[in-house]
Order: sequence, then C-alpha cells, then structure tokens
Amino acid sequence: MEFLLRVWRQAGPDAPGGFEEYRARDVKEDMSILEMLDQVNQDLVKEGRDPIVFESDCREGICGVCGLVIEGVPHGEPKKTTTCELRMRHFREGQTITIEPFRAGALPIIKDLMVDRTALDQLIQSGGYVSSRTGSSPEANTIPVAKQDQEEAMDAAECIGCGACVAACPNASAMLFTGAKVSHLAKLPQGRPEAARRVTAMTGRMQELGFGNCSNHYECQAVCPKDIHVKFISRMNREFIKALFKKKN
Amino acid sequence: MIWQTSVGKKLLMALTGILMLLFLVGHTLGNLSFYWGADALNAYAEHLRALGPLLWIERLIMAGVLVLHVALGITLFWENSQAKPVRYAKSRYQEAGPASRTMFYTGLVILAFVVYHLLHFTVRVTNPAIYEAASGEGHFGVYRMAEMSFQSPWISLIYLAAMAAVLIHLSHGVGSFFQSVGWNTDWTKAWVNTGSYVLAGILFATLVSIPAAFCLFGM
Amino acid sequence: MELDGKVPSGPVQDKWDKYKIDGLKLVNPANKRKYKAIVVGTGLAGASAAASLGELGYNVEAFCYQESPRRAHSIGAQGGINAAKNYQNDGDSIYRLFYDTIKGGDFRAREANVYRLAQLSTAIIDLCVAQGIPFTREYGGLLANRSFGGTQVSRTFYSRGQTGQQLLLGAYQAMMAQVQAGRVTVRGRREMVDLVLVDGEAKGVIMRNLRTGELESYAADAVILASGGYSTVFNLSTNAVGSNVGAAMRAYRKGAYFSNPCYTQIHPTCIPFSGSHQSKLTLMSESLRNDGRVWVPRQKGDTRHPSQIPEQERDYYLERKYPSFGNLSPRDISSRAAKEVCDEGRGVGDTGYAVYLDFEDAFNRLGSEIMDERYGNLFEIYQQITGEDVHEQMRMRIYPAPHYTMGGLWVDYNLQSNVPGLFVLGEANFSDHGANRLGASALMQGLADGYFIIPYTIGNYFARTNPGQVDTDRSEFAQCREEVERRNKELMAIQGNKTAHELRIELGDVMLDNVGMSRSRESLQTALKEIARVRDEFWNNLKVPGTDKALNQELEQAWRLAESLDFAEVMAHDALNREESCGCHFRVEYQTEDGEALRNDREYAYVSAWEFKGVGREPVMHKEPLEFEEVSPSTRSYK
Repeated sequence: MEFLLRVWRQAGPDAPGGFEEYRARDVKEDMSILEMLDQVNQDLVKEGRDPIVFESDCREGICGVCGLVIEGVPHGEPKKTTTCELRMRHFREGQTITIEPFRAGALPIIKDLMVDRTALDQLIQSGGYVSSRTGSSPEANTIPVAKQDQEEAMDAAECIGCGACVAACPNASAMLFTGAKVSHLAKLPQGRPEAARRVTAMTGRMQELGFGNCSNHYECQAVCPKDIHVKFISRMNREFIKALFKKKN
Repeated sequence: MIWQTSVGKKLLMALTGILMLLFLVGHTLGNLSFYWGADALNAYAEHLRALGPLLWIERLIMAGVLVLHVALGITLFWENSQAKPVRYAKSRYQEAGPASRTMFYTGLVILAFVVYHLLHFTVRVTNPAIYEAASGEGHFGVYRMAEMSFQSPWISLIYLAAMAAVLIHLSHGVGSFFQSVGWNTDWTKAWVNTGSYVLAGILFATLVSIPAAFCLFGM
Repeated sequence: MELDGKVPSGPVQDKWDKYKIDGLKLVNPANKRKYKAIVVGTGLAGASAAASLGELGYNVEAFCYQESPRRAHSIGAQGGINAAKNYQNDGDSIYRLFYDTIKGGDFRAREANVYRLAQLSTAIIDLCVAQGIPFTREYGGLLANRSFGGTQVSRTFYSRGQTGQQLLLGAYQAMMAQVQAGRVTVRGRREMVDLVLVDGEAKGVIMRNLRTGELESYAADAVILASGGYSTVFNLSTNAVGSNVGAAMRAYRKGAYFSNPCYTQIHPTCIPFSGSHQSKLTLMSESLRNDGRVWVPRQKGDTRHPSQIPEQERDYYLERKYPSFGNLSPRDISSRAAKEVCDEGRGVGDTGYAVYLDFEDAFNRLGSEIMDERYGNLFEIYQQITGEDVHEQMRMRIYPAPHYTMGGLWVDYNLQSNVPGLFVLGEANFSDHGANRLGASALMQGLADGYFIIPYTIGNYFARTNPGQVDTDRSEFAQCREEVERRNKELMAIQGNKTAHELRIELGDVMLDNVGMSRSRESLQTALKEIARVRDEFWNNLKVPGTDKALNQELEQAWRLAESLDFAEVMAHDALNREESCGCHFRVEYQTEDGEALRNDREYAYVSAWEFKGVGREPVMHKEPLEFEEVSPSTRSYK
C-alpha cells in the first residue's frame, strides 16, 4: 500500500508549526500506523533529515502514551482502538492521511506530535487515590463488595490516561478522565471515606490546570480506546453535589 | 466551590436551565387557552395580571435566573475557547450533533427573542398600530393583539425561527440537565436522550401551532 | 570469590520476622526526613517503593524514562497476582507457594528470599484491596481466584485481563499521594545514564533529560534501581519498545554484579512475527491453552488451509509428547516444542514460524457464547492485529516470544547489591524466580520488594550512615557527566549508514537464534562472535541525526542499544558457562533421552554473578552457592 501523509511538524513548544508531506511506500496492511511512521522515519534518518517525533511505548494499547489525531479523530476512526493498535488495513490505498498532535491548552506540544500530559498526573495527584498506609490494611475479605459494584468500578478503572478524551473534546475538558477516577473510587467502599474530599479537590484542580468545561458533546466517549462511558461524568457530578451538602471540616 | 469549578458552573447552568424550562412549560400550557377562544385567552391574561405583586416576584426570579444562565453561558463559552486555543486543521465529529455544538448560538438567538418578545407582548413598544387596535374595547385584548401580530408573516417567521432555536437548544439541554445533575445512570441513560427530543418536540409543536393557526387560518 | 547473600540464620519460617527485630536497625522518626533516596523506574517495584518510603517520612526522588510513571510496562501484565490466602480451601499455604515457586524456578533461587516472598504475598492483597483496586469478585462479594500457570491450587487474584494495569495504577496513585504530601518528587522523561559512587557507595545518578537533552545530577543517601528486565535484547518481545537494560548496565559498569543473565522466559502464546516492520509481539493470555489444542501438519511444507488438513495428518505434538499435561505443559516446555516443530519445517503461516492453536473442538463442545465469555477480548485483540476472525477460522496462529527475564543485578537478602547503597528491586534483580518464573508471580515480587521489604532494609542502611553527606558539587558527579558527555559525542560523531533500529534488529536476530529458547556451546560461541561484529558495526556505522543537546529519539535508541550490546555479551557468557539445562535455560548438550532438561545440581547449584572488567574484555564470574535447607531439589516431570 502507499499513502500520502500530511504530518504536523513543530520544532518546539513556542515555535510556529505547519504541515509537511511525506510519501509512505511499501506499507503492509498488518502494519500499525506507528510502524508505518517508524518506516518513514528510517528513511528520514538515512537522508539526514529530522525524523518525526511521536510517542509510543507498549504498542499493545495499554500504556496510554501514544495518541495522534488521525484524519480529525484522536486514535483514528475505528472505535475502541489506541493509535498503536490502529492497522493500515483500515485505510484506502493511496489515501492522504492527515496526522496532527493532540490539541488542548492544558496539553501543550513539546515537539511535532509529542505533547506534555503532566496535567493528567497533577489531576491524580490532587486526590485520585485512597490514602491507605502500607502497614494498616485490614484483611482483604473483611468488606464484601457486590460484584456489580466492583464490575462498574472496573469499567471506570480501565482508563489508560491517554488523554484522547481531552483531545477530542471541543472544549479540551478532562471530565471523562477525572470522572472515571472519581467514579472508580467512589463506587468501592474503600474509596468512600475520602469521596467528598476527592471530588472537590479534583474538580477544582481541573479548573486550575486550564481544562475546559463539559458541554456534553460526548466526543470523549466516542474516541475512548477503553470505551469509558459518560455516565461516569454524571456520577462525578452527583458526587460533587453530595460533597456540596457535606459539612466542611 | 460551586462558582470556582467547572462542575459547579455546569450544575448552576443545569438548574437555571431547568427552571426556565418549567416556566416555558407553564407558559405553553397557559397559551393553550387560545384554543378555547378569545374570551378564554383574555381571561387567562387578566387572571395573571390580577396576581399583582406575585407576578412581579415571579418576573424578578425569572429575570435573575435568565441573567445567571446567560452570564454562566458566556463564561463557559469563553473559558472553553481559552482551553482549546488551537483547533484541528481537519476535524471530524463522532458523537456531537448540531444541537450540542450550537448551544451558545441558539442561546443567543433565544435571548434576543426573549427581549423582542417582552418588547412585543409585555412592554408593547414594537407595534403601536396593533396595540391601539387591540385596546379598542375598554380593556386590552390580548387575543386581538396576537391575532393581528401573527397575521404579519414577518412576525410569525420571527416566532417560528425563535421556536426552532428553542427546539434545538432544548433537545440538547434537557439531556444535559440529567447529565449535569448526575442523573445519567444505567437506569436513565436509555430514555434521557429520546425523552429530551420528545419533550422539545412537543413544546415546539404546541408553541408554533398558535402563530401557525393565526397565520394560516386567520382564526 | 564466593558471595554472601546475608541470609539470616534460623528456620526458614522465622528468618524474616526474627531479622526484622534482631538484624535491622531503625531510623529515628525525627531523622527520617533528613534522608533521601533516589528511585529509578516507576513500575510496580519503583512506584511502590517510592510510595512506602515517602509514607515513612523519607524524601524520595523518582525517575522514569516515560512521560509519566503510569506508563511503566508493569501495566502490560494481564494474568494476575499470586497470594497464599487459601480462600478456596484447596490446600494452599505459604509453604506451598514457597515450594511451588522454588520448584518452578528449577531450584536455582535463594530459598530464604522465596519464603519471604510467599509470606508477604497475603499482605499485598490486603493493601491492594484497601487502595481500591477492583479485583474480580464472586457474587457473594468476596474475592475471586483462578488457577494459573499450571498450579494445582487457585491462588491467583485478578482484575479482568488487566491486573498489571490495576496494580500499577494503585502503586502510582499511592505515590502521587506522597507527591501531594511533598515527600516524593517525580521526574519523568529522564533516562539514567550513570550511577555515581562516592567512596565506593552509591550516592547519586546522572540523568539525561530526554526533553531537553541536558545532563542532570542528583545526589541522595541511597539509590534504588527498579528499572525492569532485559527482554528487548531480543529486539521483539512482549515488553514495551522503550524497556531497556541501560540503568542496570550502568550500575554493572560501576561494579555491581550481574546475576544469572542467561535466564530468560519465552512465553509460548503470542501472536506470531509477521515481518521486519514489526515493533512488538503481543501476548495472548495463556488461559487460551485451557481450551485450545496446539498442532502443526505432519508433513513438511504443507501449505493447505488448516481446515483442509484431515485429523490424521495433524500432529498434536504437545498431547503426543506430554500426555498427562498436554496443551497445558509449562511455558518453557511448550515454547521449546513449538520451536522444534518449526525448525523441522512444519511451521505454518507466511513465515513458517507459527503453530495452530485450535478451538474447533472447544467451539463445538461449548458453543460460541461461552467461548466469547471466556476469551472474547482475546479474540478481539487477535482480530485487531491479524484481521482474522477466530469465530470463522476456529483457530489462531501463535508462536513463543521473549517475555520476562529472571536474571538481574545481584542482591543480598536486603535487596542490596554488592555496591553499598545500591538497592535493586523487581524484575531488575535476580532474586526470587530462579531459572523460571511461575505465572502471576512477577507482580507479587515487584510489590513485595517495594511495599514490604525495602522500607525495612533501606532503613537499616540509613541507620548506619549519616544523612546528606553528598551533594552534586562533588568531583565524582562532574567526572561521570564528562564520561556521559563523551559517550554521547562519540555516538553523534559516527555518522555512518545504519540506524539504531536496523542494528537493534540485527542484535535481536543473533540473540534469538543463538541465545534463545535452546542454546548449545556452538551457538553461544557464534553469538559471542556475532555480538562483537554487531557492536563493531554499531560503533563504526551508526547514524544518529540531530544533536545530543535536544530531544533526540534516535539518540535515545542508540544509547539503549549500546547498553544492550554490552549486556548481550554477558548473557552469552553466562549461558556458555552454565553447562546444564535448568528452567528456561536449555542447553541441547544437556538433555535426557526424552529431550527433557538435565539439571546438574552437583556442579551448578549456584548463582552466577558477573563482574565487569572493561568493554570487550571477558567478565569475571563470582558464585553464590545455593543451599537448600528446607526443600531438596527434585526433577520435574510433566509426562
């Protein structure tokens, strides 16, 4: 297969950027889009040109580090797929493929297609955990948890933190990411004691970090590689209201 | 914290929105008295006016709600554009429909319409000729005013356009309300969206039917 | 020289508890904030260590090459985590888990460490549940278990097929809580490019800031390496493409011994290699073997569609060779058997390096619905990668892939290397799995090391040293930086014709062919020659564009490959030295008449520990003899 790639190139965070075109030849349909870019980069390196900077690590859809906007869709059109798992068989022979970095004020570009997602770490840091000291846990089976509650918590906990939800959101909102963590922990008895503190801290931090507001477009859910449902955003909103009525301490 | 967080602002947006929706439902039900004839509508209008101070309290509350909703809407819109300073060169929406993407604009249209509607029917400054004709028989004839207004295709068109904006705004707004107050759950998610389309559709049909009736059948 | 593992005396059951009281000194709570530890790597072991040390009041600076600690490749582990809870009432106990682990490791692990691991396993589950990790549960609300990797008891806890992800996120969150508390600082996009020794003790690191290309110095009172394993020396593996042995190799150069590098586990069920473009091999959970039957055609070069090959012309080789365990034979045996039939020319698929895992019987017996319930997500992954629908094909093609490495830096019972102040945790050390690791034990070890061992043993080291003695102004830091600077300049100056990617593939092929699933004296000698050749080519014909003073992903790759090349040599030496077959180390010269591994306990019941003697010079081996007080080595049989 052969494709024409229009790739966003940008030398640094504040440098002006623009599209450059590359021809990808000898592409096999079993290749992932990243393997195709690897191949293009090999040629660039040999020609002494600057290879395209993009991120990837596990290449099996779980680490969450890859993320390109392909033909206008974060992680590409096929649903429930990370960029590294997107195979070239989903594209038409000879097609022009536009590749852009994630765009959001809170996720600034580092170079080319690489963005800085430390804001997502800062969100977790603000309260996305259960404060349990290593030495003080009760026996694991002390508190039974209904299977459906655990399953729902797991549905939310599957988030890989790739940030595609932020990238897809026209408002660059981090509601799905934050909602997933708040819901995961709020659904389990172990997370309840801190539930109010957590939702207050995380939603506050979200605002400080410059993420946008939710307009309920649900683009986030559509591009989420782990199919995380927007009901978790709603769940976070409910937790937020509960926290409003909780006595401050 | 309700003012400082995105979630808080969305919550207020949802609550003010739903209050206005309730007002609109009441307003629409009241308008239905039109179908019982001129006397019924005029009596309904007279009845409202007789509420006196209560009516003013209600008006003040609704004005506050409206200002809050609009102010928040503008804040959110501005914050959102700040949060996404650069847009994609190529963008393809997967889920967002025309309604959700135009909330701000349909909102502006509705706001403009509300101002016009108040000037037209409540403050009565836009069409002096019509008001004069309507106040012929000792007391003011609301029915007559509506009848004469809607016989003008321009006014009817304005109303139609505004109701279309309301339709679009509500078709996304009602579902959003459920999401923002945390009621989009496994139980409700199946009917929330359909429900909001149906509700918006019923309101639209009812509201539009009155000018349409005047305009088309000259009732 | 014989190494001393510093194993405490007394019965194996009491060693750890007694040692905590008699052997380990405590640091005064008021003094803890004066000590600082550097943690390199933020996977299960690193993140859990950072979290628990921060919680105790120490200062921690944690580094990872990824942009965020949550990306560490522990996240890829699918299966589960073992713990001797005996919730199933099926006869499990700490002793049984200990025995299974020792036996699974083919009696090449240190008894006392393994016993401690089994002891701590239960506390890990308690802690993880308290952290809100959504382990799969029964309808009654209690934790579910499954049997995993051929054990006879159900002791594996799991979160769907993403146990590693959930445990890593738990450790990451615990660490981020300490970041919030101001005890831990996390620095991502940093690659450890040198270990700094002051008066022979590990007191700091040099990091390359991958974002800016700057070299940065960090000083501390101790250094913890939790930098993972070395499977990427084979190029394609189930590891993340960025996983690398660099940090461990920097420590090795500074005098830390590398133990048992020849022990590498090749996982039998992965999606096969499909072409030179490929960057990654994807694991398919072993659970598939519960219902799948492995076969190849009887005839060489039989290119018929599998459904056209009649039953009597198929060779169900695992069922044939190992009638009692059949398709569930252990990882090393299954992997080797697959390689054998493919080497005979009976492999399938485009490359001839794949075997069928056939579900036709299972589909007929159980129906599509039950099969999807059990394996639906795996069928999806398979389809995503190969474009083939298992429901139509009724079978997959699979082939073994490098997965986990049991060898690592030598550590004593305190998880301290022979360099004082340098602690090594998780996959990066050698300590607990011997020559082969049981399924669902890697997560257990990483967390035991980080949450429950290092907080005690590092305190013992701190209690004997004064805090804050070293800062980065010392000449040792400047020296190390210069050395790194020089090496970077050297890499940039070559300007040859081959990319790091191409050379990585070359090295990978050498290693897989000669130091892979089965090894011989001849193949290992070839490997040593070939590694030297690739290394030569690397230092003379490498091409790295750009500059070392900025973000440069090609330079990162080249740096890691340079370390892999030096490491590959140690690995081959170790495999050559170990003239026996044990666990995952299979020397063709040492096998029984039936082709089983032939262990030699009389001569090789030791841990090898290699000492660096200079690039291109043969390393020197030291031994730590293995003493079995509790169990007596037996021969495993899966017939």
